[in-house]
Amino acid sequence: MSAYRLTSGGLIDRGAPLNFTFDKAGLSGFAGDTLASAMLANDQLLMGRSFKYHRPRGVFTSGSAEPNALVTTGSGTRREPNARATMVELHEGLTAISQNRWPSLKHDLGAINNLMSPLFSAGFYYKTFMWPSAFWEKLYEPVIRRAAGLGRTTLKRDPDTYEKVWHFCDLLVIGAGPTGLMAALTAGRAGLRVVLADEDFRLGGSFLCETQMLDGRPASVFAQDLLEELSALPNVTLLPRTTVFGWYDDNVFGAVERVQKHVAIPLDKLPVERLWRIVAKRALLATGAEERPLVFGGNDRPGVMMASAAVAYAARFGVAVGRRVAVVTASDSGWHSAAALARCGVQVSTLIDARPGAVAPPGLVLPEGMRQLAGAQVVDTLGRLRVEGLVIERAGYEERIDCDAVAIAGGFNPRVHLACQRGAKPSWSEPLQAFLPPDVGPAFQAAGAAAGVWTLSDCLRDGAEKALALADELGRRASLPDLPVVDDEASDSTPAAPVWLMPGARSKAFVDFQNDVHAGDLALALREGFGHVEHAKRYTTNAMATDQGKLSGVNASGLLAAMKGLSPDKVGITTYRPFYTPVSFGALAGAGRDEEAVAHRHSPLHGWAKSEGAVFVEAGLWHRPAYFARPGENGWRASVEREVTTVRQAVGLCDVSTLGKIELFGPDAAEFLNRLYCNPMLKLPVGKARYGLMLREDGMVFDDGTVSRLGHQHYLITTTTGMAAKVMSHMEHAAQVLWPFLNVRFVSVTEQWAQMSLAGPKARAVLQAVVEDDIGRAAVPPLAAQTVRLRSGVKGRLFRISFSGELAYELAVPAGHGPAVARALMAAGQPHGITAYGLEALNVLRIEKGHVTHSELDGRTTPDDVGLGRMLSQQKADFIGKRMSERYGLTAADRAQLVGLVPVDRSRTMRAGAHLLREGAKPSTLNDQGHVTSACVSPTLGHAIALALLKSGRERLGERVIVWDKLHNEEVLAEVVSPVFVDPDNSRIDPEDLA
Amino acid sequence: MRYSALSLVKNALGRNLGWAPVWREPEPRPHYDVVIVGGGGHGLATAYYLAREFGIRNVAVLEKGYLGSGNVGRNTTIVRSNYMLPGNEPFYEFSMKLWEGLERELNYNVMLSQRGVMILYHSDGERDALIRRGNGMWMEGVAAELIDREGVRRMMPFLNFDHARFPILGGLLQRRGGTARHDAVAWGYARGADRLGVDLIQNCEVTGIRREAGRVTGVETTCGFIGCGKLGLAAAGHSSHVAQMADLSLPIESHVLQAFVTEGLKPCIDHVIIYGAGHFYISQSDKGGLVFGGEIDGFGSYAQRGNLATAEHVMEEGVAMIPGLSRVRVLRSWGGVMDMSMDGSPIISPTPIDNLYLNAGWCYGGFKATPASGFCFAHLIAKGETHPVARFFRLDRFERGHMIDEAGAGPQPNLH
Amino acid sequence: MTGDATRLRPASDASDEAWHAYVYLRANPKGVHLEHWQHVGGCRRFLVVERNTATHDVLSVADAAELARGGAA
Repeated sequence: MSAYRLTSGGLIDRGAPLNFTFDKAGLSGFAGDTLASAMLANDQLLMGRSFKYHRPRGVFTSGSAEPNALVTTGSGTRREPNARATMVELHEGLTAISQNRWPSLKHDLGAINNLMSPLFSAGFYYKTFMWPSAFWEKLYEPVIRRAAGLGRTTLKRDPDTYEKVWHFCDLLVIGAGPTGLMAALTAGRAGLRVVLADEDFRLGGSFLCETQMLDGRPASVFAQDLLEELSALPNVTLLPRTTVFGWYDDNVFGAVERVQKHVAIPLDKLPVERLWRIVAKRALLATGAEERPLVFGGNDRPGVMMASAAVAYAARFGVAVGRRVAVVTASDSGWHSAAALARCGVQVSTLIDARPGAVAPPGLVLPEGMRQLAGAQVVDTLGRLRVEGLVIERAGYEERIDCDAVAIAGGFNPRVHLACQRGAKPSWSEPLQAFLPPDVGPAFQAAGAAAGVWTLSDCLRDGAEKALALADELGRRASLPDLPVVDDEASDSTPAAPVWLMPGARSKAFVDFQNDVHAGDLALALREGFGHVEHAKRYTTNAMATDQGKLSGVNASGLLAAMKGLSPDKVGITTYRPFYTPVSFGALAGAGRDEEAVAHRHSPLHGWAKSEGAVFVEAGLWHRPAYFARPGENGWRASVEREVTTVRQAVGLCDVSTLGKIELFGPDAAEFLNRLYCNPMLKLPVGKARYGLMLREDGMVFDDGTVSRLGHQHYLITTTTGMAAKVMSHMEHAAQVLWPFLNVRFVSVTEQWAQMSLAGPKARAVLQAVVEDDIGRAAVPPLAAQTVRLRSGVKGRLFRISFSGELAYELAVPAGHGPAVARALMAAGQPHGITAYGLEALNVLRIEKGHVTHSELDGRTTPDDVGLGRMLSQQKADFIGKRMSERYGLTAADRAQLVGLVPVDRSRTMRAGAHLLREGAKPSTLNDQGHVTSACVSPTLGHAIALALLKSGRERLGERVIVWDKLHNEEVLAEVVSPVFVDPDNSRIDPEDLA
Repeated sequence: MRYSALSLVKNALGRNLGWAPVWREPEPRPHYDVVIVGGGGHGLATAYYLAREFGIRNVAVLEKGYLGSGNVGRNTTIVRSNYMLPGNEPFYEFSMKLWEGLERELNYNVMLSQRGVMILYHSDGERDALIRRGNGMWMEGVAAELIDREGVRRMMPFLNFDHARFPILGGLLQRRGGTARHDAVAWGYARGADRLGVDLIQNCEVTGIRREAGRVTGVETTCGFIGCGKLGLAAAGHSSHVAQMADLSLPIESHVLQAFVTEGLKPCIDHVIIYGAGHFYISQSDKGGLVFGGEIDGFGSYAQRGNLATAEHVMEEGVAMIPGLSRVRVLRSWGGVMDMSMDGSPIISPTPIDNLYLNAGWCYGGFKATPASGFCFAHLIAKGETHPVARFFRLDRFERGHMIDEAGAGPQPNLH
Repeated sequence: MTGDATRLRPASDASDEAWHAYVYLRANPKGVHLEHWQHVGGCRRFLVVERNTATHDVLSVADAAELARGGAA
């Protein structure tokens, strides 16, 4: 037994025991413990295995920089890999298992990698696994992949929910340690809206591990008083368990609050995580500084950890990490840590200071009986699954030191991460021997240890003063709070030069613990020409683990600099990127998921269609009826055939409300439309509609629709369903940017109108039963557009437009009246055998007539390609797309042109997406003649038909081509015909009035 | 030095002191036959093929940072040849075949993993478009398979089949597609080019292009003036910036694309999966992290970073496609600078300036093209004429009306 | 964002070069430039935004139509 729970002390609640399991063993701890502190209290030093070499690993830190103690928590659908034991708040029923080991943590077969480690030097996989070539895919890669990764996810559906919020504040303080608390207090008292965020579940930062007194009171009590005042201020928002992970443009910060991660079975009325998007006028980086490990041989053995962690475990969690702790340091901070440990009742047996002639800082009360060794280097550690001793060397003299825990103190790295996420690099400070945050402007500043301010009283002052200055910038008067007196303050006046590597290492000296990168790897990288910090990182994988170099980045830079004989300034450090610590997909995705991930759009006739038996299909965000199933019909084909036949022989009703509708007004409306469409619009008479083609400026068809003139300066245009939003933006661009002097106004009215298409020989009879006005052939001729009054009193709009080629009308009524009007039409149509019809039937009807949709208008086709070249006005002075239409490539004779196809063997079918080949030609890209754009079986003709884009198609009518669908292994011989299959004379559109 | 398992063993026994620098770091010479601007994947591959295939070794590659510091340094590593248009597909298949022989060619393990690329579809319209694409692939002799819903479910049971806003109806699979290790590609080509005598000059930024009598005579750089007989630009993201030094305006807008990686996980996703109802693609690297990305942020940028809203949108699509991703944690995000072109397709082309050649416009699809781009650009520079598979990638295609627009979106770069 | 706001649509009888430049060529500077944005989720106005593409700093915003009309509302 080496690590144990101290009989008193710590901020844990000894009256609230908690039970948990680790690798199925039942253990207990207290409220206020982390999983790591509770495991240490139970003398569980071994917590994981490293990635590459499967070396035994113990906890190294007490915070979020933890590289080693990664466990999987939870079970079933709440199972979560790669949790840092140092950040898991102990709770009742917590289950945790170790990772990356088989069959067990103690006996891991993966450790064989360790024996082979000289072969597994950095970048080894680039130099091998190449022969025999088939083996890479079949053997090497699968083995490498199985060995990769640490934790396992089941990819099962998450039962928990997430929430996202926006929050606005004057000052965001990141870090609730001494600096942050004083800053928040100063700003809060001045009335600023303050947000104080800290990743820990308990606010206070280093106050929680501080063993010295402030104004004669324990530091944690002092912190508690500050927090009480802050939580009482209504303008201050305290966010514990909240990691600010990213800094973005406009001073927007991303943060994740772990709302219920510390609850075994979360309440489902609350999210488990909440994403905060915080827009801050000013922000303060009060994140403190990370203690830096020392790089020496064997520094990865379980029981070796950061000195500040050892102190935290004692002071905050009441856990002694060992009975004979050895402190290894290269500066005064190690001595202060040793004294702090002693104050908590932990026995420190030895202190090793790498600096020759080093002595204790003046006035420091040292642990009783502690042996001091100055000018000594640690060259190895002893023990297998836990540290049992150190090997030190002084001028060639080796000595073995007994110990059961090693606390190392290599100096401090300000936590600059967030301030460097937008591209600025930290700068090396010679006086402070540390990388400091860059100056990124007044909106985001650093304070306290994060800014290189080291002593506690200086940090308290710095936090308060910076907040005061920020408040002043925002026009508020703040005053400095009373600053406490810190007893026995350390004054680290002259930072020591960092010791990047203790020389003489007898075994691997680790830099990155999770990825098993040791000093030799960095040397190898330099030797092979990968000495640039970014190259070294990628080549060795240093700083690429889940801790993202929080402990290894600066050491690697320092080591590389030392190897090259340069200052760290010249070598720099690798790029910082979001996220500060990993963030779940769930938190970033938020509440919208599954069917609610994206909005649903319903036509006003949705309910009516459902009651008619509609089977719906997605059309973008809309739900549209695909077909209407009737009892007895098995499968969609039967329904669609019936619908098509009924429309051609009697009458059908289709919901077309989803098509875009835009209403225009103004003296220049006609001119505006004339410039938007490629065909003439100026002379469109009042009361008439016209088919229109809108081009993009590059000459390709953008969208098609209708233009109706309802009044002298009053127009209504329609767009396709899918392009409605884009057409609207296109028009707004034209009106505001291209021709801002045209006097025109327009608005989308898509959702204001329910619009129905009534088509078929009986359409007029059915419509007249519902409409009061005379809608006879003369009163409402083809392409008429006018207002109408229904017998029910509702006023609507009537357009005689036909997509199906039959006698057809589109009736628009205010959206709320839609269902009633639809029911009235169906009732009026009943004696005529009316059917509701959906998208599938609509598609068949329009293919039969050779009408193009976005299957043909795919953004790469010109009007001429689809047989509408005559719509391209030669008279108009200007319209969008006019000039680029004239380009050589858009007028070439061998462009793919719209044709129809019928199978020579009428029993065969064709499929959209099939390509076309000349008879007898070998399939190849060069021989590819085009493709089928739309295909169906025509009930009207009794066989399959298709529309296709065929090279020089219009000149090849009568030719036979192969419809080639290799994906389905089908080849169909087809004849090239006109794309208008049914009623090519268009006589059905305008029959005589029926009696 | 030749790499192999044996060389690993020999060097391990010698405490790894026997390895030599993978490439030299020479001082730039006053003049080269060919200077390539840009030491990323494409620039390095070009230099390699100039030397290896066309015997032109008096070549320098000028890189303003460290080799491979641009987009090849971090991307979603997808390799595929499943493009739809006949102007594109032959080129990407040519690249695919070069990938398949690359590690032997370079004696460097680029870790090509042909695990299969699946494009999902969620509507009949999307299905028809994929059928068109798949048949176009077959026309070029590239195998493609249309997999139905149950087939996709058997391969990837963790996809959202039962509660999707846009249900998965099936997918188009290219089994030969997959991933490769991006750093290895850059380093492999760099090592290969260096061994053939190409000078790789790092920390050398081009600041000007000198011309006399309408021809390029050399480049002004932060290392001084370097003369050249021919100049090739392969500086993705900064193509406009460099071309402007020769008074050339390009049909390109620079945009930021974000990419992401999760913490390392044991193998759980065995293919490259591309979402059809949005813009999302994901695969799992050999180190265990899930590598994924989505669409560009949408605004012009050289900053190499994007914003939170786009990151959130990408995660939303991820969770929509694979609900089980919800508890997986994202480790790191990056942003690169993309050359977004006016039709979404690349440019490998001569320019109005006789001895100035342009390799640009790769949008966010440049990684898979690395070998073919290098080969074809080298071909163009060496022979003065485009390689057949790249013949549609001319700069003047916009003037002539021969755009290669896979998305059908037209002349707005951020729509591609 | 829809692109470079300094391009002006040429007269319909302008040269091919002018049209090619308008539709296809972009200065694409690494630094401050003017571009169009549309406030799609709100007022639907097109705006001329002066922004630095290297740092993302926004220097000024103006309504495009008002700017074209010389500032008159």
